[in-house]
Amino acid sequence: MTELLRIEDLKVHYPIRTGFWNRITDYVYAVDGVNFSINEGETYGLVGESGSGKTTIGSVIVGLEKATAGKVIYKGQDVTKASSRRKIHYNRDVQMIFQDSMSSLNPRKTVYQIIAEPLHNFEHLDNNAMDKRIKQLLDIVGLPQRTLYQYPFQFSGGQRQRIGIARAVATNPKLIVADEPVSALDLSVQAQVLNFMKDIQKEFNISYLFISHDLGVVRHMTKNIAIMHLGRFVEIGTRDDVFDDPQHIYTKRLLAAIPEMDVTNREQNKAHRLAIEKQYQDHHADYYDASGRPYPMRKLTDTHSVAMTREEAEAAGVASGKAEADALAKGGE
Amino acid sequence: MIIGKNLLEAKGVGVDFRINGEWLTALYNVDLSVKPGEVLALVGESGSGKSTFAMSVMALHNPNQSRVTGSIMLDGHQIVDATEAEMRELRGVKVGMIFQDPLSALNPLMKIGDQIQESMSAHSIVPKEQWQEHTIKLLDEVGISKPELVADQFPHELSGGMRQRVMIAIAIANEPDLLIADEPTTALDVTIQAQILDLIKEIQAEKNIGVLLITHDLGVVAEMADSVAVMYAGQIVERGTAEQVFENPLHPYTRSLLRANPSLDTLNDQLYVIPGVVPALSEMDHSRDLFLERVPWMQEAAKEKVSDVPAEPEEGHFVRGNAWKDFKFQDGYLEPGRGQKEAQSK
Amino acid sequence: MWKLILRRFLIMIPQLILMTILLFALAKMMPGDPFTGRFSAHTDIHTLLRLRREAGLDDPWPTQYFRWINNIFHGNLGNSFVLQKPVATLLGQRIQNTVWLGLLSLGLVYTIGIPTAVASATHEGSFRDRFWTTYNSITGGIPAFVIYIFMLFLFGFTLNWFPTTGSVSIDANGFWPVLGSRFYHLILPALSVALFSTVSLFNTLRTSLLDARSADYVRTARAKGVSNKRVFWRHIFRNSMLPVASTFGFDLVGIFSGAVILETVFGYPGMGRLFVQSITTRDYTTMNAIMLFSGTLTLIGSMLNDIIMSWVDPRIRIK
Repeated sequence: MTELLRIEDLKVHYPIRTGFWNRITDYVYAVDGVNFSINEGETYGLVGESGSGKTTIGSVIVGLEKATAGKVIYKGQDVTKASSRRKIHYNRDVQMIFQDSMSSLNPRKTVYQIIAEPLHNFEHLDNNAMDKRIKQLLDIVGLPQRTLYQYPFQFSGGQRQRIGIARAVATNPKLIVADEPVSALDLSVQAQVLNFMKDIQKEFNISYLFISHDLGVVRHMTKNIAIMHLGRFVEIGTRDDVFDDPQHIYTKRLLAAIPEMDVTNREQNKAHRLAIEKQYQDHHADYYDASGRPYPMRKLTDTHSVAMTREEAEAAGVASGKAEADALAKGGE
Repeated sequence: MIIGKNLLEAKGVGVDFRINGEWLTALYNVDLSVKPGEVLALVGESGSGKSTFAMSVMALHNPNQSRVTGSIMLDGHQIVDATEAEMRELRGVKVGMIFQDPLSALNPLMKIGDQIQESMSAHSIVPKEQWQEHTIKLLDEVGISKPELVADQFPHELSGGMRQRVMIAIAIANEPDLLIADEPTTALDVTIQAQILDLIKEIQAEKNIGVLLITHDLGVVAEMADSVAVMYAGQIVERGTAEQVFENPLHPYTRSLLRANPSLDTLNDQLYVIPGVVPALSEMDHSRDLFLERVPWMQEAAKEKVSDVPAEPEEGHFVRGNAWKDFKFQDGYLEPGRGQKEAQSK
Repeated sequence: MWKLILRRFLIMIPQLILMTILLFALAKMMPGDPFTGRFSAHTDIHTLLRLRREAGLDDPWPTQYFRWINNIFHGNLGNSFVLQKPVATLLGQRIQNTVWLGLLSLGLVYTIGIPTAVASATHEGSFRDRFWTTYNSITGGIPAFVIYIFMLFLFGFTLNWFPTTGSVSIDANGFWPVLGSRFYHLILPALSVALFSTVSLFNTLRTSLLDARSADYVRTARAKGVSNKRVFWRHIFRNSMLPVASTFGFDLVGIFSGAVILETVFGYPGMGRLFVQSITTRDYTTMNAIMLFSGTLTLIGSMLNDIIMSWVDPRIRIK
């Protein structure tokens, strides 16, 4: 198994400006020191609720946002800086699929123009080769040829999402960052898109960073999963590690909150959820540091890591959440 | 009110919309009922007509662009031919409603307290001198910890979950008998969703009100509903108790939906795909079983006329058409994934 | 709130400095000077050069600039070379005239624009709606000066209903007669503005009323059982006025920029006409003073907008 992309101690902090002179008084720790790696041809799931920072990580990887600190390493090369990305065709190899296919496709462009855009940018094809490639891509995503000169609004949500995928795979990427790719879709259409993503993954050996809040979908799609809360990872593991043996209270809480398709046991499910919720409220201080953020990670097994409890963090001497934050704030000015 | 009597009873409800000068049928022959203390989930994908039904109960369709037929009885009041003035007395009093996106459903320029009080000021159920006090009580009831503070805030200052709590406070301000919740948790995170659903359940049990829950999320239905109605293309294709519909789904659409949902059994497989799309309003022929058009091996059955009276294979479990009798999934046709490409692109 | 106003005010200072530099440079780049116009076969070139030197026009630019700024700070806007009067006095009278004309026109624009937009939006697709929409698209399409000349020709010269020049008639004496005469002189130009420039207000308000009508919070209000009338005024109308309020500051400032053509056509002695005169006669001091004045006003207008917006829209209110 070869590693394709590695994220090392990634931090993205936004300054908060307040007061009369609009001075930086604090930071939003959107992403605060995360580490993970994606293997070739694999799907890595990134799960978290709104504001957890999961989308920010995706944006940093595709270059829509800059890292405050840390590294993005692609095929062994540091690509954190935009200049280093150009040399190794990083921007061609890493593409993105968005949640809202309506607003991420230019309404004034035809399907042909939309798919042609990345090809224009990264490949130098003559007109014939371009036509051939676009028709081939349309075929891959299962849209008929006659749709080439139609506009996004003429398609259903699922078809639009497939146009978005065609655009993303046009340049034969190695990695696709998929940010909530099926959240806006109906169940039947969602199944089409998910199947299709799996198909092209097998066919072209694509890796996905699959960002989602929907644990059911993530469980179906991914091999390794990271659970994110308040800018940090609270748990990393294989699908089985996370779903069958959750360690962090937040992971447990998230899992318990998923509505089960199980009518007969709904009362037990609810009791379980409320018990976890109570534990989360009562033992919050055991899992989150003075500034309210999860503690650093520790390894349980080769595949499974979890954020430490306060006890463990104190024992390891890394419990100084507040001091670290203060040092950062100072350094930023 | 006598337990067992229907709080909401819809019979043969149809809704037509005028679109570009043409009348198109969006809802056809809908039969539904909600008893006090019952949670009825109306499930369907976008465009199935579930929100259209909710808006008909509130009589909130634009009267110039729509017409509602059939009968909708709400606690003894006929809604279909009620005047606007009569409806105004029912909205908020007999039936309260909450919506999908609590941010856009609240007026951004009005304080939370004022928006709750507006509910009371529209009716003379809560005396004026108690408005302030009642507002605080309501906010407390929906689980907001600093009600006085929140009453003085604007919607954008609250989190999504808090906003939906405020919406619930608005909806129950005049103690209605029926609560319509239209995708109440779709815009919320899963942990917040659980809290809001719990809150709705709690209020429902405490006040013994009926809840019409509209959602596309089968998990939410399974957790919440006493009874379920499944909608497809403006019609109810199946209804029954939650146990009946989830344990023994009959209609091909219900069965397909349940199968398309990612679950433990589908871990490494392809998901089941329902080919094709919901037909456009102008292409809906409601005398047939419209879903069958999307089942490749049932094209013959798709052309047959179907009775408007549903079958009742077990007591209280209704299903439309005859296709349920011999419907089987055919793996040859539904080879998942790319194999379906051809079928879909037609 | 006060903090916001104060901060907004402080931001204006560098903007003002930049503006004075630009204005000064612009004026200097224009060909000719106040004495160019007096140049004829009979003038003694040496006298002109001496006058130039005495007026300080030969000094280096920075010196001239700082002298100008220094004078402004002492309330001295300089003397008009051409009219031989202190610019401040000149401006004083003219600004008053322009303000009255502007306020009346703006008031009329709002009194015509708002009700017609409301009528249009509440009866979308009706004859009323089509009438006002067509009216606005036609009047909005005609250049202002064409309208002014037409109005002046029809009501001033042909029908003789209104005076065709000046701001007050010479034989008016006493407080009330003067006030009446002033108002009489204002009516025609103000109406000409108001009848033909409702288009942007009308379109903005009509569109936002139509949008607000189908907004989710309006649906919520109706679901509460609130009466249609109250839904309209409390929710639809109030929220639709936001985009209108957001341009109020600029509308107010627009009075002065619109005055140039208006006052020239109607022979109305306001700032606009003074400005045109000062350009044609290369009267730098007057010109600069007017530009400085209207530039400052523009900055104040945008500050006013920010303050109004933060006052009416809690979402951008700064704590």
